[in-house]
Amino acid sequence: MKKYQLTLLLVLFFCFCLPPNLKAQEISIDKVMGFQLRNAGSILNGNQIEGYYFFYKVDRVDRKTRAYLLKIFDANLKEVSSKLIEESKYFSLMEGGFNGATLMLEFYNSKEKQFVHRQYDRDAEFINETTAAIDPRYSPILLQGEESEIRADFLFSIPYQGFVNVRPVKNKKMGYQVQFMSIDRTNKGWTYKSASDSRLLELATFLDGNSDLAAFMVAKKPSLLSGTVNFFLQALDLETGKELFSAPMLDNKHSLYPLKGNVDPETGNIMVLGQYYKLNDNPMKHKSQGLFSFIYDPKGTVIKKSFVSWTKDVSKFVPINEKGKIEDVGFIYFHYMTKLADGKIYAIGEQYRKAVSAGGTALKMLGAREISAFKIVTEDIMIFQFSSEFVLEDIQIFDKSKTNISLPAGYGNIGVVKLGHVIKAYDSFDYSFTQMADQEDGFIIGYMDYEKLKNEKNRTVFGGIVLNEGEFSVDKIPVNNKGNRLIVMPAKPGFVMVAEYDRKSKTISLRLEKINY
Amino acid sequence: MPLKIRTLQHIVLFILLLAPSFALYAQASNSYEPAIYSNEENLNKALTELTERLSKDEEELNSDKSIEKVQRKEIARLYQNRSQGIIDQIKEGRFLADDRIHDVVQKTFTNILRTNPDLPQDELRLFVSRNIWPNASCYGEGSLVINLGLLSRLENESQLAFILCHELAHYVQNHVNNKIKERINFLYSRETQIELRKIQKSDFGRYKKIQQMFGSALYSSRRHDRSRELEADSIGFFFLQNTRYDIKEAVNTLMLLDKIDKPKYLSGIDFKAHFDHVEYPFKYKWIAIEEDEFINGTKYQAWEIDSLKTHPSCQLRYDILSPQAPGSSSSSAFIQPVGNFAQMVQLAEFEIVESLYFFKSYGHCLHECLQYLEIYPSNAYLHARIVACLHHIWVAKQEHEIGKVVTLPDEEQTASYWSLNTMLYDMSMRDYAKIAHYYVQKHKSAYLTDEHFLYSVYLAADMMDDQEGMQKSKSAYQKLFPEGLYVEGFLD
Repeated sequence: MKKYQLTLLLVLFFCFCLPPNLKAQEISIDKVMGFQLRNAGSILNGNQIEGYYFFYKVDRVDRKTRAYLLKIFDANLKEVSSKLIEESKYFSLMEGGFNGATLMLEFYNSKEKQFVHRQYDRDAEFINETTAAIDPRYSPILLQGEESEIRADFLFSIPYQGFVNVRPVKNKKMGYQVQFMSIDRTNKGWTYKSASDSRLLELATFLDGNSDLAAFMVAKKPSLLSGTVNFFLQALDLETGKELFSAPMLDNKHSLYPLKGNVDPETGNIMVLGQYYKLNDNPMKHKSQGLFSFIYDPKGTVIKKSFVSWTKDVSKFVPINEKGKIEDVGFIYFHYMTKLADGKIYAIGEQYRKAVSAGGTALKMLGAREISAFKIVTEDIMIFQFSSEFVLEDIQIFDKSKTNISLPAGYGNIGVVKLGHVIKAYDSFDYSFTQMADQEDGFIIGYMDYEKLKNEKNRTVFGGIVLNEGEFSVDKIPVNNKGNRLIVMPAKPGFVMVAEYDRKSKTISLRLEKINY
Repeated sequence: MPLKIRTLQHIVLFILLLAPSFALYAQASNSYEPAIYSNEENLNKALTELTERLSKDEEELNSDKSIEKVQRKEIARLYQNRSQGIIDQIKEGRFLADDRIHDVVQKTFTNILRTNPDLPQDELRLFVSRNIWPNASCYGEGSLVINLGLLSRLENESQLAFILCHELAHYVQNHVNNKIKERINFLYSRETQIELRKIQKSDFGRYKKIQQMFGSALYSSRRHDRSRELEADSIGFFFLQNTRYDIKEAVNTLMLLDKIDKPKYLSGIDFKAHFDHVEYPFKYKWIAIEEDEFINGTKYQAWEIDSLKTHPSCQLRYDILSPQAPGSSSSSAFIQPVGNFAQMVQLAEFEIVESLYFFKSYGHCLHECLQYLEIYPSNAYLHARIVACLHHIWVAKQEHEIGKVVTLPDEEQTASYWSLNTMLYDMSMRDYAKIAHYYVQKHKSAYLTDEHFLYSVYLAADMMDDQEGMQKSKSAYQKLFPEGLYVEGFLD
C-alpha cells in the first residue's frame, strides 16, 4: 500500500473539533493552536487491515516535550480510541499492528535512536513496552518513509500470541535481531541475535508463526556486493526465543530465491514458495527457471520439494522460449504468493520487459544526460494457480494497458531481472496490493491502469481482480469521477477505501466501497 | 330523549369524527401520495418576509451603539447567513408546502396565538421540515421549524402545542439572538483578544491555555443554554395554560422526548419473508453479522461532556415542570378532530420514507419501508419504494458509490438496521437484480395498477437488463398515467 498517499489525503481530510474561528484583522484561534498530523497509517493483522492510526502533534509542553493526540479508527473509519500523550519532541509513530488480541504501536525516538514498542489490550489499556536501539548506520534502511516512498515493514503479528520485529544490527559484518513481545503481561518476551562473530552478512525476514514457533527466511552472503546468497529457513521457539532449527534452502540442481512462507495451522509444517534458478546463478542478475515449493516439518526437515518449470510446465499454458521468456511479452515479476484455505496456491505476477525508449533516445541525442535511452514496459497481470501439491493447474491473464517507466541514466545497462527489483523497490509497477478475503477463501488484487478506449475518453482506473467462490472477475473504478479526483487504497477484506476530492466544494470525503464481483 | 337515540347520536358523531382517519387508513393501507414540498408562491412569500426581517434586524443592530462596530459587523454576517440558510432550505425543497400536514400544525399554532394575543404574531412564520430527526427549532428571526421526525412521534395535539409554545418562548425571550451576541462578544472582546495574543506569543502550552480559556467560556455558555431551555419550558407552559389544550401533556411531552432517541417501531424485520423466492432463495449469509473484535477503548475528550450539553436532562425538566401540571385535567388533548391529528402523524411517517428517498439515503429508506410494512402490509407505495431503493443502490454500487447511499453496518445501529446494511453491502450485483425481480413477481398481481408500483416494475426490468420488460412496463405506465409522477423517470 502506498502509505504516503494515505498520509497525504488524511492530512487534508481529518480535522479535530475546535471552538469557532474568527477572521479578518482579529486573531484567529486556529492560528494560535496548530494541530499537525504527524503520522498516519494502517493497522495490519498479517495482510489484513484492521484499522488506522493518526498521530497529531497538538502542543509544545516544554523545550523537549510535546503533547500528541493518538487516534485509533477501526476498519470502518469509526473512532474507537484516542489518547492525549506527552512525549519527547523527537517521537514519531511508525507502524501499527493487531494480532486479534492486542494492538502494537511502534514509535521511534530520533534523538535516542531507538524504537519504542507499546502494546495495548482490546480496551486500549496499556500492557507493556519494550525499547530497541538501532545502529545509526542502518537508520536509512529502517526509517525511509518519512521522506521517500520506500518503507519496509518490520513489525509482524502472530495471531493471539504477540508481535515480532526484525531489525539489522551491527555484528562483525551485519546481522539481525528478532524481538518478540508477548500479549501476556507477565511474559517479558525475548530477543534473539544472530551470531556476533559471523563472517557473513545476515538478514532475516519474518514468514509466519503459531503458538509454538516463529519462522524466518534468513539470507546470508559474504559481502554486500557478493552475488552469492544462501537462504535458510530458521525457526525460533516462541516461548524461549531459542533456535529450533536453521535449515538450509538447498537443492543440488538449483539455486533458490524464496518469496513467501507460511505455517500450516493444523500440521505445523512450513511451506516456502519462491523462484528457482540454475545452480549458482545470481537471482539479481539471472533469469529464473520457474517456481518452487518446499515443505518443512516442524523440526526443519524437508518433506516435499516441488518445481514448476517455465519451459516444461508453464509453456503448456503460455508460449515460453528456451530462455524462459514469454514470447512477445517478456518476463514476469512475481509480487505475491499465497495459499488459500482450500490448499490452492496462487502466484501473482506482472509482465515486464526492457525496451528502447524513443523519447529517452531523442533527449539523449539533444544532450540530456539524466535520462536513459531505455525504459521498462509493464503489461498484463498473470495469476498462476497451483494445487495443494504445487502442480500448476491454470494461468489467468488479465489485460492491462502498457505502462512505460522511464529510467535514469545508467540504468539501461542493468540487466532486466535486476531492473525488475529496482522498479519494485520504487513501487513503479502497476500492481498495488493483494488483499485476502476474510476466511482466506479468495482475494482481491489491486492495480492501476490507464485505459485507452475507443469512442470514449481515455481514463485511469483502479482495477480489482477478484477471486470469489473459485471464479475470477474484474472490477474497475475510474479515478476521475464526474470531474472529481479519486484515490483508491486497500481497506478491510472485500473493500477499498475511496478518497474523493470534490472540486466544487473543495472537500475530501472518505468512504468504503465494496469491490463488485 | 330516550337513551337509545342519544346513544345512536353519539355513535354517529363518533363515526363522523373518525371518518377521516378511516378514509386515511384505507388510503394508507393501499398506497400513498407524496407531499408537495415547494412552490413558487411559498418561496416568494418567504423571500419577501425574510428579506424584510433581515433589513429590520440589521437596522436595529446598527443603531445599537453599545455593541462595538466590529462585533456588529460579525453579528450582521451571522444574521445574513441565517436568513440565507432558510432561503436555501426552501429552494432545496426541505420545507413542506402540503396542506395535509401543514394545515394541522398551522391550526394548532393559530390556536396558541389567538389565546396569547401579546405574542408578536406578525413576526412569526412556521415551517414543517423534511428532517427525519425528532426536533424543533427557533431561528431567532421569527421562523419556527418543526421536523417530520418529531411530528411522527407525537401522541396528541396538546403535545404539539407544548412544543410550539416552547419554541415561541425562545423567540419571545430573544434567546437565539442573545446567544449570538454573547458569543461574538466573547470572541471579539478586548479581553479575549489580549489573552489570545498572549497565548500566541507563548512558546509552550498553547493548547492547554486555549482549553482553559475556552473551556470555562464554553461551559458557561452551555450552562446558559440549559437555563434558557428551562426558561422556555416555563414560559411555554404559561402560553399553553392560556389555551384550551391539556397542560398535563406538557410533562408527558418531556417524558416522550426522554425516549425519543429510540426508534418508534422496534419489531424485528423478517428479511427472509420479504426477499425469499423459490426461484432465488434467501441466503442467511447476507445478514450474517460479524462481531467486531478490534479495539474498543475510551476516547479523549477535550472538554467535559456533561458540561457541554445544551439541554438539561428530560428528567430534570420534568421534575421542574410537573408540580405545575395537574394530575388530571378537564381540558382535552385535542382541539382539532382526533382523526385529523392521527392523519397528520400517519402522513408524517410516510413522508419520512419519502424524505429519505428524496435525500438519497436509500438504505435507510429501505429499512423504514420494511418496518412500516409490518403495520401497512398491503401498501403498494411501500412495496414500490423497496424496489426503487434496491435499484438506486444497485446503480450506486455499479458506480462504486454505495458508501454515499447506504450506511456502513455498525453495532450501534438497531439489530434490524445493522442486518440490513450488512446485507446491502454483502450482496452481489446479481443478487440485487434477482431479489428485485422476484419481489416484483411476488407482488405484481396485487399492485400492478398502482402508479408507484408500475414504475418499480420498470426499474426491476432494468436491473435484469430485460429490454422487453422495460418497454412493456413503460408503455403500460404511459397509458395509465400520462401525466404521472414518473413520466420523466424512464431511463431509455
